[in-house]
Amino acid sequence: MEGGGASGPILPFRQFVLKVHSRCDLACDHCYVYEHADQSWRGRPTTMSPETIALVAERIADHVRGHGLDEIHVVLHGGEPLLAGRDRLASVATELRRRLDGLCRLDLRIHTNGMLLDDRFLDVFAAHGITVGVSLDGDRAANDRHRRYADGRSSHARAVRAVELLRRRPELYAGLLCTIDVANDPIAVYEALLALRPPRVDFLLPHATWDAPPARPTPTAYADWLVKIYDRWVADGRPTTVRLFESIIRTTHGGASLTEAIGLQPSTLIVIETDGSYELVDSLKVAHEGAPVTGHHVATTSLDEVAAHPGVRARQQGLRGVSAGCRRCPLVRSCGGGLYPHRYRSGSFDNPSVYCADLFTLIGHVRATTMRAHTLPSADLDTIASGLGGAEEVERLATAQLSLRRALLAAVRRKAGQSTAWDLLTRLDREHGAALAAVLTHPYVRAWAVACLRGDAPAARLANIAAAAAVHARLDARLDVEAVGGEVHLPTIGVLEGAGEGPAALVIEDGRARLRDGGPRSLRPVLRLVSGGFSVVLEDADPYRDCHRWRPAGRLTGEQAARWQEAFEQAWQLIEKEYPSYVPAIEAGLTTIVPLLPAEEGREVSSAARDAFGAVAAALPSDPATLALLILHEFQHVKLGAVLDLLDLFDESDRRLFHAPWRDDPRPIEGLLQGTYAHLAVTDFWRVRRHAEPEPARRHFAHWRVQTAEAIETLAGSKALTPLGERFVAGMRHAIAPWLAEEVAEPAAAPGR
Amino acid sequence: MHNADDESSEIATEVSDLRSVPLDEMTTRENELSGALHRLLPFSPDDARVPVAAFNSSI
Repeated sequence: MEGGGASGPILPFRQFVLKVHSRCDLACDHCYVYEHADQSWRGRPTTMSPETIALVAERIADHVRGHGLDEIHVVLHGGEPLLAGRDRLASVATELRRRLDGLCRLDLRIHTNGMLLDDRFLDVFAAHGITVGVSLDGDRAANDRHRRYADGRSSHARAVRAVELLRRRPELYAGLLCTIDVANDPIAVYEALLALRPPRVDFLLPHATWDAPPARPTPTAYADWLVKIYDRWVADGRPTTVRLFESIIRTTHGGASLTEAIGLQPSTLIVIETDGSYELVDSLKVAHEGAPVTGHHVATTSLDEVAAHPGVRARQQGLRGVSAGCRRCPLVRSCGGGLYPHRYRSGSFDNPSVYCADLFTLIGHVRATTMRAHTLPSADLDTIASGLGGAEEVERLATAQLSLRRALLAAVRRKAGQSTAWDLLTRLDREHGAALAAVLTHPYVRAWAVACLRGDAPAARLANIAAAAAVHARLDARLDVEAVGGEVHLPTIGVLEGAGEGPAALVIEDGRARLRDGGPRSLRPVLRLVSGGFSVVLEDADPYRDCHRWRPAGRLTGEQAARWQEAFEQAWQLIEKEYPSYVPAIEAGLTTIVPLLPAEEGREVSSAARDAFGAVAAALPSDPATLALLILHEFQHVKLGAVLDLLDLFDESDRRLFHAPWRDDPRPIEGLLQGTYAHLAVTDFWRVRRHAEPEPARRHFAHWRVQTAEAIETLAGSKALTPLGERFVAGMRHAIAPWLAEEVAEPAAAPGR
Repeated sequence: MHNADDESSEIATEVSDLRSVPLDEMTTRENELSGALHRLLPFSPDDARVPVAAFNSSI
């Protein structure tokens, strides 16, 4: 998530709300401009002058140029913007397009109450590419509860007439905004709005704060009202976009909200009043007099300077920008603390929304009806945080990996289009699901798919995955597969040599794969390492295994493979004997070891990759104990990477770097967390090892427990952790605490691995 | 504010359980896909995220 932080580089503005007219022809009693705490409209010019418009356009153009923005959004707003008249609106649009066309895409909108809208206005909007949104609170009874002229007359008929005009020019019709009043019948409101065939609708919670709370007949009246509409909307097959509902669904699945009303995205919006004053989002007017004021003006201040204003930055903090209570809430990524002004209480915005109970109920309802998601028991997280984790915990992580990999396959298909390989995959999925799942567990399926979606690998490998699954399923098939360097690699199956460059024609019969034009050569099956009842793939052929920090070794000779087998067997026996509490998790999650090229000067090298769950890569060390240490160390990364695939343990918008005791360079929070978690196992390794091999084990234990404990405290004090992250780090601290009290004969000396 | 912090609770994730969703249906499940891709490819073009919080008082 993009985030500017409280200091550091600014986030450029991307949305500009121009108050082209400061008065309104209606007197809606729920209006935030005129009917709430801030009354600054009384002292402003009624219309934005041509001079101010020119300055505004120039400022925006400078900002776009300075930040290389490819698209911005400008909303012509009020008051009632149509009161500015056709000519003024046309001149605003002309000036904006004159300055911005060729620099960026300009999404230009106007939001109106519709009272003055006619075809001549629409001609202007069509000429200048302005789309139109209309405020309408539902059927006549609902709308006229608040949206009336000053003399009490209804605005409904005129608003509906305006929408009817827009319906005849659908390219200009942006949608309808409805402010909720729970006294209205929600279904009648929904049906009245839907009858106008809007391309988009949003339901707005009426502006309120803790100091001026909303009318609320029941504790969750607003949620209950919206749930009725939501259920009907779903039953109707979602006939139009409802921005609030779509935003909840999107954020539920980790996406971004479509509205500032919910979600954690940073606000990059600035309001420019009719007199050229820059203001923060104008709904802050509900909080207190002067709440939106920045003190800056287009004549004197650049948008970059305004972007550094504390009031702007306050709304760009992501998770750090919501109250402590909100940070502990399981729905915070959807809710985001609600609309910023709604958090206000007695001089502070550091509160949950005054609509907290409603948002919790509504979001919970939407989640319950739209999502069957993977869950992780809290106890699992605690067990993994301790540095361990049993078979069940790791199997749950592996199960979620299967969902992620299926999603990646579907995304590749969407990118690459229909193919014989996809047809085979979907057939295997329907008829031989276990066979496909067996292939998808191969770590480098994900590494390839991620590379493919980033444009760094061909989609053709989809065929190799399908072919491997067909072999497992003993399903006869013929298809073209990917060959790399004259070899066809079938994940979990093996390698066929003798292919040319480019696609290779593959034949699968009776559970065996062969090249159609490859003669009698047989498949070289994957190598395996075995120790007792535990076995992993020794992967020396997958072309996508090169995703580790170190370069992979090439194809192993028989002698090299034998050395790996000998070392693995001894290393695993050591782990089973001395580190039995690590065994169940590793047996459940470690599927593959990738040989790496040795580093220069005899340094041990090993790696785990976030996109290769289940794999550990290492250069063959000189002794089995070191291989055991490398496996324990790297499998920590494997486990934590899988946790991070599911849960946010830190605020990803936090770009700060932190000292890691074992490195010269400062690390991002994720790097520090990963390193600390891995060194928890390293500390434990030497803690145990010192009984069998006192030196150098005692020295290493003393060294690593101090460094790991220091890193844990750095993490705990970072203020970058989510509540789950705090829980995880507390679990690590709990694990190391007794080790810090253990006696070590020798003081810490030189560092070890 | 609402907490779900007790030892026996399940932590909900944003990753949909797609094991039993047929592969050929998945290509049309925008939200489920974007949820997974968002976590694996934060800056993927397939992850149709809106980078800013859109103005509430217009549509």
